[in-house]
Amino acid sequence: MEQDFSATFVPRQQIQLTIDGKRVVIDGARGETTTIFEAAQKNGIVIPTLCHQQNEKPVGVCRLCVVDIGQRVYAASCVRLIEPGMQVKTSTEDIQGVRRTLLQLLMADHPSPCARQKLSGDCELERLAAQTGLSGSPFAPRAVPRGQDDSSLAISVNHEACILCDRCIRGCNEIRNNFVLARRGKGYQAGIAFDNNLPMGLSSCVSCGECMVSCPTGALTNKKTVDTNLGSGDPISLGDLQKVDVFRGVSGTFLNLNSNAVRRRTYKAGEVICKEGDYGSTAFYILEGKAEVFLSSPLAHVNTKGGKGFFSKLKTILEPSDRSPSTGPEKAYIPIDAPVDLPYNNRLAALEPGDLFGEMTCMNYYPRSATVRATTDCVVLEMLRNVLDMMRRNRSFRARIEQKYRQRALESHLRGIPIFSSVTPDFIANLRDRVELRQYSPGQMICRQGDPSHSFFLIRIGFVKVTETHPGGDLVLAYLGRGGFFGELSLLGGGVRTANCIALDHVEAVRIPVEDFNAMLERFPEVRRGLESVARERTLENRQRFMQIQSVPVDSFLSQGLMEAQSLLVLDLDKCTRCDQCVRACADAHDGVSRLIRDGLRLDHYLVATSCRQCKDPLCMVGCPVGAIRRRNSLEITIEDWCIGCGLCANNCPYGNINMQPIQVAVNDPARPGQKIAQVTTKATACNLCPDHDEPNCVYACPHDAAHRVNPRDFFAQLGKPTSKGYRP
Amino acid sequence: MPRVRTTKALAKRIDLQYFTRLDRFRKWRLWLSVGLALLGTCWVVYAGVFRTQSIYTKGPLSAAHAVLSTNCNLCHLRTANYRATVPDKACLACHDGPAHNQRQTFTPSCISCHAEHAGKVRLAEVSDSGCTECHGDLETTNGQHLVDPHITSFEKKHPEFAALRASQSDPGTINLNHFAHLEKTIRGPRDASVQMVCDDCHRPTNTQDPWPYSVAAVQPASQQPVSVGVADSQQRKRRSVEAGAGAYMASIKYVNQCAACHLLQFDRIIPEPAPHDKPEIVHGFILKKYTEYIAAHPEAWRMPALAIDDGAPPGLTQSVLRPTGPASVSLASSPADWVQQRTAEAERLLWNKNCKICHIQTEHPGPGLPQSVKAVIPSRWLPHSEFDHEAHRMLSCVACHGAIPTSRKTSDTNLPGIALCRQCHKEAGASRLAAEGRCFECHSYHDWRKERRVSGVMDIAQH
Amino acid sequence: MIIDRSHRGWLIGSLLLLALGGVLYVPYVLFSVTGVSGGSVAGLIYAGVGSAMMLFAGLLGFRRRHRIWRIGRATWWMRGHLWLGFLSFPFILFHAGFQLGNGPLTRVLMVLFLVVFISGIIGAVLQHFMPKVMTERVPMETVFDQIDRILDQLADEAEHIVSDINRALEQEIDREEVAEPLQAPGKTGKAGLATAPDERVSSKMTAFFKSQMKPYLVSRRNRKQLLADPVRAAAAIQQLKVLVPQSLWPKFDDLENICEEKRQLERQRQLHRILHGWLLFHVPASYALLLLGAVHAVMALRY
Repeated sequence: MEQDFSATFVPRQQIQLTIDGKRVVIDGARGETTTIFEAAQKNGIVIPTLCHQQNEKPVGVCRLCVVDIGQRVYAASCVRLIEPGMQVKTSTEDIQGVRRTLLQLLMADHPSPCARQKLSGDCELERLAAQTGLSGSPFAPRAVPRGQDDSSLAISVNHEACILCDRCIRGCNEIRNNFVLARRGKGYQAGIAFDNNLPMGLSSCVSCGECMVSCPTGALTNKKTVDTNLGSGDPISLGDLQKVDVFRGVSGTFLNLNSNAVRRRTYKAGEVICKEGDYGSTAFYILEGKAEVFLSSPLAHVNTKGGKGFFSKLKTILEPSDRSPSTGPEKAYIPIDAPVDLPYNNRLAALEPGDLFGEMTCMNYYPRSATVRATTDCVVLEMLRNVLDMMRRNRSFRARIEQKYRQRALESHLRGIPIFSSVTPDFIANLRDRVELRQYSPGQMICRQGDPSHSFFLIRIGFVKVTETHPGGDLVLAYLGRGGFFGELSLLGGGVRTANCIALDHVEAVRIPVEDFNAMLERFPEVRRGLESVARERTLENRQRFMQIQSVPVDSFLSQGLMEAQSLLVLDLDKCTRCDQCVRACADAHDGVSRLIRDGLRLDHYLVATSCRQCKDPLCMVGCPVGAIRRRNSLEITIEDWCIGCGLCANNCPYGNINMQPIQVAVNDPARPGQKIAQVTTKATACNLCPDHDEPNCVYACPHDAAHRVNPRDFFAQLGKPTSKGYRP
Repeated sequence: MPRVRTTKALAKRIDLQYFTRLDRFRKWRLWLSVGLALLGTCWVVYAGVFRTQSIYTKGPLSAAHAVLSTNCNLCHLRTANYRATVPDKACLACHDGPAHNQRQTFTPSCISCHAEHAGKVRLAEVSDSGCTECHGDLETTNGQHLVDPHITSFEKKHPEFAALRASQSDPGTINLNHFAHLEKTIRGPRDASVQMVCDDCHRPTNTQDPWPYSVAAVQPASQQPVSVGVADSQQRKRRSVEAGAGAYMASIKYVNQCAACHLLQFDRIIPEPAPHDKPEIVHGFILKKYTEYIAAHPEAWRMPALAIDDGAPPGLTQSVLRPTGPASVSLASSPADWVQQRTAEAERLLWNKNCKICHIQTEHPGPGLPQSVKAVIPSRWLPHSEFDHEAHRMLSCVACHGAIPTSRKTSDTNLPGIALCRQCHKEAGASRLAAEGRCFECHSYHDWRKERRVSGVMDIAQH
Repeated sequence: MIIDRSHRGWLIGSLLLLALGGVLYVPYVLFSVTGVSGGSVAGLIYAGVGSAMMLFAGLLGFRRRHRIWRIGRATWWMRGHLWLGFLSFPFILFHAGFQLGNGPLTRVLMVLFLVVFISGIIGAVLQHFMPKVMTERVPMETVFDQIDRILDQLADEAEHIVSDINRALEQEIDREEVAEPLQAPGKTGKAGLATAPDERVSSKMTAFFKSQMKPYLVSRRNRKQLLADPVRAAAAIQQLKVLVPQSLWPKFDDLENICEEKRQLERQRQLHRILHGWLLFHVPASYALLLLGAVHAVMALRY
């Protein structure tokens, strides 16, 4: 008999309201605010909007989303928060009339069909108008034209089509933090402006394209398609892309701009789609066919515990093996970068149409975690990070991902945690529906040491850094990846977080609220016992680690982020004569532009030069709008030709290893067709380890054997080894 | 708030194009390099333009050639298109360098032994290896060797002097017993007791002092003796300029060194001694003297004559020096007969006693004029090298000729051997605080007997 | 280039070569007719070998200019330069018969060679310990060519800090002035006193910056300046520090840190010059040497 567990759970704070006669219950967890729009959306009720974009702060300017909440005036559902007992009507006749009038007003000034409608057929205004059954508008169009602005190289501005929804402004400010766009003027003079109302091409606009992607109409459209070159596969047309259900809701302009960033690829049965361990920068979405995912390499996990060197000690701290759940053979799962995890003893799973895999590789540039092979003939979409990034902002897409995770992976994750292994499947099933998938951006603090705790986290994707704050600095306790969990100590201990948990990259975590957790513990005492023993172990480990760490000066090494690096350019300062040959050699090899700077922080008697470190977690790649900075198939980070010079990667790199350099290119002269004119454009440059040679030019050119490209762990571990004469300095 | 010092902040301070500009240090390095190289080029060009090749000189010229220093082309003749070495004809324009030997297998160039541009050295002082190059393992055109074919150095591998080799003896044909002459007291001129010394007979050729035992000592009225140099028949291999006049000892002549004691009086009644000359002349002289005597003393033929001593031992006795008259008393039948008798008696005395003491006579068959071996007293004992007594004048005679005081035989070769020379002459003499021992000190490569004078052709302006 | 165990091969090779040259020199001296001479066969061979070594050493400049040509690692070239360059001297001495040049050109060549050789040895010796000295004594080292630029940035930073301090002091004054009405009238005198010192401090700060700090940071000849001496600088800053509230004291530490950075950068300049100064002799002399050496070779062979 199925037990009803719902009663055992302490009911959380819930808000009940009625929307269009339907009873809607929203969990009002502390700190969360839900608007009417969101509540309706969660329950499948669609309210049309124009100025509301899902990832931006709602502002309520278009008023299309107005609903009747029984008050004197209609409320804009995108900004209005829900209250208990609200009676919401979203589409009364009156409201429909209101919407129609609004659309007619807007369509009056709209140059229909606008550029976007022509290009991708998804001008939101025109689509809404068409849905409402409007054709033409009874209102007179404006007399004074608002003009066009073609000064930007990438984006075409048609003020005529602008509906002043401010989505572009919010995109530029909130999402990209460029602060180029703003409103100007009043009344009929109102419009959007760049900087102090400069032409777009002369403003401080960096052509990142966020405004264009956010624009619902054809006011901001792309001038050209980004010349992305994925190498293999067939191009997919805009129309076909829009038909794919996961791309529904993604701005057509964006898809048009980045249509080259998505390729259709076909595989025959038995062909390998991706191999584990390869570096890559794309994610795959299965359109048709089935595939299997497995690990082909034999299971062998070498733990370097107990190393004597200073840095070997660090290694032991950083190995997540003692934290990850994959220690027990029978019920353990190996977390991989796919909707499903692989069971330890039979490392094979199936993928079906609608599955997205390669997310971690695409978003965070980690190597492929498993091998995927087509079992039947497959058609997949391969996409770069910027496309996936856009999709992840799409709520429906996220909801689908979440659903898949819940269905296929969450249980195995939960089961993968030893303390949950004895829990019954029904419990899991119930728990599954109550957990919440949350996204965290890189660097975001998930929980802070000392804060009151009310949730337990389980990581679906991404990496989390667990640190302890001490007077001398932060001490890293662990790095947790997929399947890792944290927060249990505080739940047991006294309700205060004992460590900081910070998202290192794009993290999605499952959050189990404390009430559910405590209920679980009461129901299953052996779980509590198991958890308590784990908690004791962990506390002991942490204390030991702390003692260990105190004896070595770890701060400088970690604070410089050297553990992130996979390749460092170190200059032995005892040999370096500061002759600059390395810098000049690099410049010689790269058109007079040096990719290394001979300054930086020191470690012992080595200078860690400012040159790309090929980080494991390349923060530089976060947010590249065109996916130009990526890893192809090997260690080195490459910036492709189609870099648009927005400078985001240079900003993101915490070590200043990426620099923006002016480069002269020959472009078609607009004034004289058929001829080229020189133009100075900015591109990002970063060291890519000179892959054409077996030794980078800087190392090759150093006359004093002082420059070396090293793997930091191995290199510095050797330093710490004791020799017969005592510790090597 | 503490200052931010992160890698990014540090890197942002740097101007990314700093290395494209020349900084002060590099600028200085560049300009100094250019400047110094330019300076060098100007110097060379200047030399080329003004045709002063003197900057390329290897070193200063020797003192003798110093006057030619400014005119390199006098010696450095254009041989090929480009080379300007010093060919032999450049040296031969002023000097003559006669060939060494007819049978040498190759003739070295002048400059292979005489190296100029070495400062104030004597060009003739060639190192031993110039000589031992051939003489270390001598090859001749006909394969025959006149000298030791393996001579490498004076000190180590130089043969004993030819005159002193085992089979050699003094080739002199005039008997001489040095010991007898050097005894403490011997009877000298006019019966005085004298102690002879080396200098009484042996003096360098350029001596002007009168000989103590010359003819003049007993016959003051006679002519001054002749001081003669080395006979022309002697071989002279060193350049006449260098062979000092005092190199060799003056030849031994009867009139200079012997006449005062070794008298040739043959009869008491005739005070003049016989001339030291060929036997025919002596015979004529004796006849003449007796004839004059009989003419002056017509009755002397009837009186018995005093005997002339004979049978005296060939050793030194006073009686030999003082003939007392014919020994046999026999009356002459006539004055002519008396002359004949007296003459025969006197000649018998002379031939068999006086002359024989010194001269080696060939077989004397009987009455008739004796024949002597040609008189040979070598003045020069080392034919392949030059010895200069003047250079050795600080030494006493017996320091080198130590064997002389005890030498009784004529055949004794009283020369010092090479061992004695080596006591002072060592290789690289001055640097080893010794006398020069290199080849050139005694030997000369060029055969100066064949020297031809070279007339100078230079003009004053040319030097 | 630090000569360490990795040079063993080169060392042995050089010693062998030198020994060979020396061993062949002895009979050459003993058996030469006209004495040792550069123009003799053996002399010319020595000259050839020595010149080849000198040329290779000179080619280092070429290699350094074409850094990315794959013609051998720069380290290998540097080692060759060191060892073959070092060897060239004895070989040229053998060629010259241990004479120091008797003619004008040869004398000049020998002088140049000595300059190159000795400066090179000095440079090599310096490279053994100067980098370490620099590393230890200049923790805040930066790129030498950019020191001036960074000093300007330091001056700006110091200016900002000083203006921050002054602004904070002004706020103090304002706060005091706002608080004034609340006080009893009898205490205005005290309030008046309280404002004045802050103003004076502010002007002192500005004066300090303008007269001491900025000139110090920007100038080059600064050994006699107050701030060049860490002890006096600390004292001067301390004097100002005590006049301001404690919350502003970290900013003074920053100022002191800036002075310290300037000191270190000046030290770096000095050390860098020592480390590289010998090149101003070595490089020009070597160019002149190679040029005149070529002239010498041509002319000596002529004569």
